[in-house]
Amino acid sequence: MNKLLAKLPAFALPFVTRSLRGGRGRRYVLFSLLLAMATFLIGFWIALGSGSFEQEIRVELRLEQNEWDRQNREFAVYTHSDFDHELALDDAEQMRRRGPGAMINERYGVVVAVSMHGMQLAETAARSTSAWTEQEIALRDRARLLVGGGMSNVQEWPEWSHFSWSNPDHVALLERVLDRRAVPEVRRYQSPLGLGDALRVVGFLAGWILTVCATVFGPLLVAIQQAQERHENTLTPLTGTALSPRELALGLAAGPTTVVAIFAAPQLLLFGACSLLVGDLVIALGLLGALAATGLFLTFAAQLLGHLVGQRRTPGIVAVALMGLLGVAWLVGTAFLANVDPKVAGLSAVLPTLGLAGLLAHSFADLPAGYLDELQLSTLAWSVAALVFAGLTLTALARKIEARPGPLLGPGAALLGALTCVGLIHVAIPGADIEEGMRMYLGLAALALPFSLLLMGRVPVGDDPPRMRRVPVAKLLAEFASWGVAHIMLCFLLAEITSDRLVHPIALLWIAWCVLVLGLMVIRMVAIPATIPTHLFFGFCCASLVVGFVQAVFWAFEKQPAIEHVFALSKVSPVLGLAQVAVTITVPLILLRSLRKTLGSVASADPSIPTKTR
Amino acid sequence: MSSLGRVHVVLDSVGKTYDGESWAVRNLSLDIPSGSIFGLIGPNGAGKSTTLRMMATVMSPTEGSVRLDGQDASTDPLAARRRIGFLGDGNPLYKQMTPAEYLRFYGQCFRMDAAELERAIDRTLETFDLTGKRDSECGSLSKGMRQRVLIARCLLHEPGLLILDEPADGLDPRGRNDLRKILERIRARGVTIVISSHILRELDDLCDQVGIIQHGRLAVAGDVDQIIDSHEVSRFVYELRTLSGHELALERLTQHRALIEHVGEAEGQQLIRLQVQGGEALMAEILADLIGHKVAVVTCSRVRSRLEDVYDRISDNQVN
Repeated sequence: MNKLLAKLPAFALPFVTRSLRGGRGRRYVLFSLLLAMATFLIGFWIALGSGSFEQEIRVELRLEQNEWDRQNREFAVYTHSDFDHELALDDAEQMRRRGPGAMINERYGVVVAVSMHGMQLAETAARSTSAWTEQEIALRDRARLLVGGGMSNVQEWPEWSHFSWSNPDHVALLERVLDRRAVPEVRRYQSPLGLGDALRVVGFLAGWILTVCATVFGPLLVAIQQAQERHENTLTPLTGTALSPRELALGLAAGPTTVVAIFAAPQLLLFGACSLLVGDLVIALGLLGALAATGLFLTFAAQLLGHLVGQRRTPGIVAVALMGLLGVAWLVGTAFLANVDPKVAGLSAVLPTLGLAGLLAHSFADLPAGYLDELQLSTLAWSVAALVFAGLTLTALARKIEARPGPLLGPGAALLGALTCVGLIHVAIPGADIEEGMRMYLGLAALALPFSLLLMGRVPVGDDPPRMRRVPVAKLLAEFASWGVAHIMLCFLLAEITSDRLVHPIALLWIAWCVLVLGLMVIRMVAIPATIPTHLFFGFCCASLVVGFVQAVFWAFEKQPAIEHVFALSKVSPVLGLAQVAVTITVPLILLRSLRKTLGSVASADPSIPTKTR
Repeated sequence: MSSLGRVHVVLDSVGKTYDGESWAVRNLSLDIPSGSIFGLIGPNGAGKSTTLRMMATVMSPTEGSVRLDGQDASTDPLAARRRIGFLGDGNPLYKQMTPAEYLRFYGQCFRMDAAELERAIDRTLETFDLTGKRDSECGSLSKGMRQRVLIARCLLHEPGLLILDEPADGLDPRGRNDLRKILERIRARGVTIVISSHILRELDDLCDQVGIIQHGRLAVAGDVDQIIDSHEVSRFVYELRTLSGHELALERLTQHRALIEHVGEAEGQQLIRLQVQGGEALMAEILADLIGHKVAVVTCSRVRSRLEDVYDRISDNQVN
């Protein structure tokens, strides 16, 4: 172990050594091997087990047909116990002796029900007028003979209400019903899956654990570690060591990640081996690539979150909050995957859990080709973006650890992040089936949050008091607006906008107002400590932003807008209209006044340069 | 253990404000010679911790600069930190780690070579009398031992400058005594030590130089002896030892402008410590009066002022 550790880079060595100290490394390896063994055994058990529980799991995972459907399609009755088996054999024997029709009114059981459905199929075939070949005609005659005078009491199974001679399954089943004289075969239940399927299940399970390790446990442990360092003030002495802030950030992430990696490594081997043997290796490799990029970004993002809130909140609260966020992301992602619709596959560009779940599923099962193409493209876009975001988050984190005065992100880095977000949004929003210009407004709404986060990174911070800080508000607002302009220009370039109304001056004015208020609010939020009344005011600002944005959309899409719609609330009541005018004017003024009053300066400084020579 | 070299520390008009209105430290200039022990004294909230954090490069001054051997520490803080061992206030410690693991962790953070690090750990544990607790969790150690682990961590990478912020805070008398011995051992290696405390007796005979800081400003700084000498000119404290006539002596002293600070016994003789309000002439007069009234005075000696006395004199704060 020590020889392996010695090969680690200097920044990771102390933190990895700390995570694996005192025999912990050996214990983790042992547990990870046990987990891998459990994955293997559980996979085989789920795939090949004959119990009802395993059967239910297989049915839920769509690895096996529902038993009822299966019995009707195979014209066989499956039993799960000796008692059931004897009973079913007895029913089948009586049916064989007395004829299937004789038992319909006497007793009702699975054997009788399957027999009735078989008779229904035979009756449908007997009535068919589309039998042309000799074989088909012979089969139809045999069906007529079996059915005789008709089966008026037959309980219908919708599937057999239509018989197709061109469907080989229908014909094969009819032959089976006729051969067995409408008496179903009684079989002991066994899993219909084979060894290959079992390996698929093992591979899927291993891939799932791998995915959870990379996107949930890894980020979660790193966030807890970072929050704990902040909460217990143990990070400050570390900043006094020979490690740079960036190295510290990487090292602090490396420690917990190593623990997760030890557990993930055998799963990776299982996943790789299974996808090589029975899965789609290319898709599996794609999944691993996407997983690495997503895991990297989520790890740094969770670490930054832990750092930001760790001083005031306990690591437990950070963990619960983060677990909730990641859990919701996974729930939404898998919910979208359940609806295999190519129109929503592009969402995986902004909802990586959808792409990861899709690629994992397709590694061992087939998804529709059109859906898969969309999914792969958008997941690739996300993966590239995730690497960009990971780099930006790491930079911000390092600067936060260093507590150096100045912005967390430089103008170039923020622009790169903004353009990446714009690209992702354009991949995510489907091109077809969307109203002209909707991409522009949907995009602006979706970009509000990431752009705000990037702007937060541009506002100079540090342990300087706000009074001594110079924040170039106008320049930051110009940057913020330019990111939105980049999105609008891309919409034009993609020939999305042909109608003049979509860029109506009133609509653009409302958009400009929204940009101004959101930008000022974000700058105010970062540059000056907020009190409870300030938070309430921010809530009010957000509500007014929604109203402003709806006004912009209204002016863009309404066919015949009237001038009184400039302030739409005036249509409801003149007083409300006046209130809206007042809010529109005062909100940005209040925000600007607050900045001017509290900060040392709101102009003329380049935020990338510290305000004082340190 | 050899140090990376003694460090000469200069603070040039250093200032720090947290809110932009009031200054935690303002216009603070210090010149700390290499190899000395410098004590930073002041009441709670005077700005000691802020000053030390700036000196350790973990906090940037709002104005002024910190220079180590003539070089501005802010130009290459990482290089500066390799020469500094800093123990801040709050004493954060990973309680689940053993002292050996804790030292290894910090040694690796200072990029120490693996073999050298293991030797340094053994040596440091021995220096700080922690060999027996090598594999005990830090959380199970006494406060004094934990403090030793923390200081040991600061010295592991053999810095030339050791900065300790209130290292004796919370220690019992024995722990303080141990700490004093350890600091004397470190001083013997030539390490420059800067130590802060609001307990003046801790620093009185330990420091070569002291700086007294109040309300973020330096009140006085320099050699301990010089400071005491310069501030005791108008303070005359004498110790009288008598064989007989002790009660009479106390009665006679009430007739003079003298303040009796202490009455007791030493080496079988009666002892009176008094402060006279009129200089040496008055003391001669008092002595003549006592002898004239048959008080058997054996010795009369002037008592030198302590740092605490000086602090009381120049401070408007009551410190310990």
